[in-house]
Amino acid sequence: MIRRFVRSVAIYLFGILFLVPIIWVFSLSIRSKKDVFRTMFFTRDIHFENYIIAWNTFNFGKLFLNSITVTCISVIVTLIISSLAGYAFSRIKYRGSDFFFYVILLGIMIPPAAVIIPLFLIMKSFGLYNHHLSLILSYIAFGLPIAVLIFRGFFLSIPDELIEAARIDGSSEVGTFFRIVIPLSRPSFATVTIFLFMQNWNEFILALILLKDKILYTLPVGMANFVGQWDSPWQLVAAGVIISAIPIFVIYLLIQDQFVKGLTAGAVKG
Amino acid sequence: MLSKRLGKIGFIFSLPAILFFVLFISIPVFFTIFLSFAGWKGFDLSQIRLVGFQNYRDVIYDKIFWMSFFHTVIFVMLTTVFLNLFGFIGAMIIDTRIQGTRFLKNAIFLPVLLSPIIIGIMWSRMLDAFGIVNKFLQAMHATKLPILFLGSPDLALYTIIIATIWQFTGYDMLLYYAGLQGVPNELVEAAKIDGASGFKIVMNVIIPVLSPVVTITMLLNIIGGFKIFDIVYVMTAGGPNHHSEVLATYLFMQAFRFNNMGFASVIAIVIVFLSLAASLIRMKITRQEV
Amino acid sequence: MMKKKNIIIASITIILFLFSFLPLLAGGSKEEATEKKGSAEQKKIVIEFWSWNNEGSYPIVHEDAEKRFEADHPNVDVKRDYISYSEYLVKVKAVLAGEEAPDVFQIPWAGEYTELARSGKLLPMTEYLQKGFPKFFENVMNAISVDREAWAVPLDLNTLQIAYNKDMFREYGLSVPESMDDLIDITKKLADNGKFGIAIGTKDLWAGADVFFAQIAYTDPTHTKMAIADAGKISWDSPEFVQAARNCVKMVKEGVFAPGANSMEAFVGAKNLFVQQQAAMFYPVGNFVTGGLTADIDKSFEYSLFPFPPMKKGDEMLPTGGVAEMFVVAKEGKNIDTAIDFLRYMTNDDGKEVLVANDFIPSSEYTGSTANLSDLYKNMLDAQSKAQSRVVYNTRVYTAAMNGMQGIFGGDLTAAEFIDSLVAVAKQ
Repeated sequence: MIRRFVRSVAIYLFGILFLVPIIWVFSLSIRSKKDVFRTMFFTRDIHFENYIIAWNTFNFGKLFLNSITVTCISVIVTLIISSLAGYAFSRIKYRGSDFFFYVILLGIMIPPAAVIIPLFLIMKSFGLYNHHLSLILSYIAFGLPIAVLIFRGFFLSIPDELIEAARIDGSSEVGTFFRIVIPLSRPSFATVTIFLFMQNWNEFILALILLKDKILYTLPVGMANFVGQWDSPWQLVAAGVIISAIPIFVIYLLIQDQFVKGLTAGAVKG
Repeated sequence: MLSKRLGKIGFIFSLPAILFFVLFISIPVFFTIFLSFAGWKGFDLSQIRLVGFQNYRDVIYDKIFWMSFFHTVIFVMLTTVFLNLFGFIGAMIIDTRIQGTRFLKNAIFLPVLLSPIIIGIMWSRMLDAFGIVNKFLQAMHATKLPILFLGSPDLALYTIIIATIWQFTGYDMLLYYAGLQGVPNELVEAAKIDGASGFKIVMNVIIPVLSPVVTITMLLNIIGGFKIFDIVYVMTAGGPNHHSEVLATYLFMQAFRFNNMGFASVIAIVIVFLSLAASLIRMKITRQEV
Repeated sequence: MMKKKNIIIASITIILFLFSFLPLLAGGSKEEATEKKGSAEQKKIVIEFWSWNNEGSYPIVHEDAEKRFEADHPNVDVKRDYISYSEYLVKVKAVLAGEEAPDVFQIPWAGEYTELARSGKLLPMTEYLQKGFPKFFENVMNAISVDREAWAVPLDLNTLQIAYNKDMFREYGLSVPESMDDLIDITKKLADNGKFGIAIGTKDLWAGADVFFAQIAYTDPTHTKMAIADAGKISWDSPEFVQAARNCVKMVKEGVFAPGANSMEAFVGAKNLFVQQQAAMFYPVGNFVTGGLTADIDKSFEYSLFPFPPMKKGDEMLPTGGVAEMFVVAKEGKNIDTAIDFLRYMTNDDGKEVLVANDFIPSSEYTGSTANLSDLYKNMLDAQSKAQSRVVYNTRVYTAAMNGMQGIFGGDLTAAEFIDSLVAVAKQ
């Protein structure tokens, strides 16, 4: 009994220890300006209003809105496109399906820094430079590889009998997909959503290059802009960091069970 | 007839994905390959000139390129090893499901969700010569002079590696945890009955069952490591004096500081090539095809 | 319990989904701009203006120019945008390649300037500068010329000097050093009292190169060799440069600088060491940072400036300096004449008044009142007249110098290796 207790305490402690950098950032976010370089952790002089000041100074409302727009739309569209493709690659062999799958998988290896200029030129030729759509389309493309990989893995694990049964009952492929496969795939959707959300919410370099006007900036670019060459008010930057981490962490907490299930079932099938 | 109809549907299902991919990834990649044989300053499209293998030759003879290559390989090796090691150990602990593991799981995974830019800024501030880590070490009388984590040529790269390991351990941990759920209990029980110690069980039962997870996790780490950019850029921008330069940051510098697009494109190809090679090696070793 | 979670997830998803489509209707910002203006107003000419000097007193100067210009030109809207320096070059390149460059933008001196000037994307300014602009100082005109054409409009000048804590100097009985050995002595005395010498940040690279140039001002009494080497006519391993490199290494070895240079940005960590009074000195300081510095110090101590001391006591003290802010006009801009006119407003007499009022030094002669100038300003004005060049136009050499200085500060590069790296890239 005691051993269990001690083990649990140790585990909690380790968790807190691991989070020390984040706790430190939080302590930074509630300090006054003069305490920024003076104190180590927490002091009595607490300034929660830093969050409100940061929100206004960095125009967080706009940054948030932009990040949410771009991330949500790209994630939703990617989910649709990649689940369809993942299903096709797992269940419906057609000439070249393997080839296409491997080609898409290759996408994981592409460093964004390498293709920004060509991508920029393509967007420019579509008239999409300095428009959120350029980011959205890019994020969809860059999200496809991992999404297709996970979906395909998951769909491969669905027992053949279920699919066969549906086919025998006269269901079309499309019908099978929507009526049988999707409801079963909630975990994989959760997994892909988390991965995509994470990737897109934090994406930096494409947003930097493809957006010109500050009003359109997403969170990472907006924040990097404040931590530039000059001395930034660090307590405000820290508050900004905490604020920007909240949405994604909330989403994770909400769907973490499904997320893990999704990983279990198909992602790591290898 | 069924197969033909199925084939067409399959193609239609995968068409949007293929289209997106071709348009926004394949075409830029081909352009990059083309650029690797050209000289271009990046300002004017009409000024692209073909130069054959000149860029490749320049890259091979460039000292800093080999430095960044070397650093990238070190980065990949160290991060992959430790991410997998810590991730696995973490997953084993979480799998015990005792009180506190749920908290631990979320605590360790939280950094994965954060932007590498933010992580970089956070750690840079903490590891400042007069930042909290150094102040702490001095308060404990462990050191007298501040340790220059990011300013010292010897430590910079390894400091970035540690920050990266901190960030992504949760990622590997969750992958291993998911994998552990698939380990059949009977096998573990049988081994226990046979009197095997904990360590033996891990080595001879769990890891073999998990081998697909191990290989794919390692592969994802390796691929991610070869293209690492954000966190290095924010913490040191490749400095001091190129001692933490990695391939992607050097690519960035060549493209945007020296306006040497052709050279930068060659580096891009090297990065993809390395990932490809790792992927193929994995396929050969495991005889799996993803 | 499961159901509640599902409902929450579902509702959040739906809300986000709906929410996210609304801004997309607005999408690009140009539409927002005209939407806001309303239908009654005529279409305004928008002049886009970029700079990276987001702090200190520069925004005040820019804003004043904007106000004056818009007052006289009601159909023009000047849109100012500040982009942090580390991302500035990347964005400029991208917009130049895509022909979306801002009408007027600040440009880095040295290295990048030459490339941009030769890119064909900038408007050649020599002719325009003769119409409606003040007569800029001759050395300024030289600084902004590439291939015998002027490509930029210089706004102001600056010098780089060492800021020192007068109170601390007084407390420890120190006086302004007149030779390098003096400087070394001072830092040793400071170390005895637990204080650092010169705080400097080399993480963002540029400040380190300036230390090197500051030494060349003394090792090359002719003050011409740097430009000649830059043009490729002499080698960078000429004795003047070697000596300058050796001076730098010596100063680093003798502990003149506060530790951790490579992990601090010039105006973040290093500045704070000075402001928190842990370092008695701070480099580089010029009018581009004095405004912010004074504000941060907030009267807790007095400070003034002196240049890097010469090698020999009694020699003249020479700072380095040159053009501070300079602006270029995009060749393919849609409102070139308006843009150039805006630059005229920035550099005219009214503009110079505002510059001087904020401790900046105009790039053309200032004939206004000098009565109320602060001591600090007088110091900088005096320094300006003696300032030596801190510009290398060859991008590769400049970059190698910056990186090499990081190596010297990190203690892993010798003077010889530093010079070798310059020679090597100069050959390319």
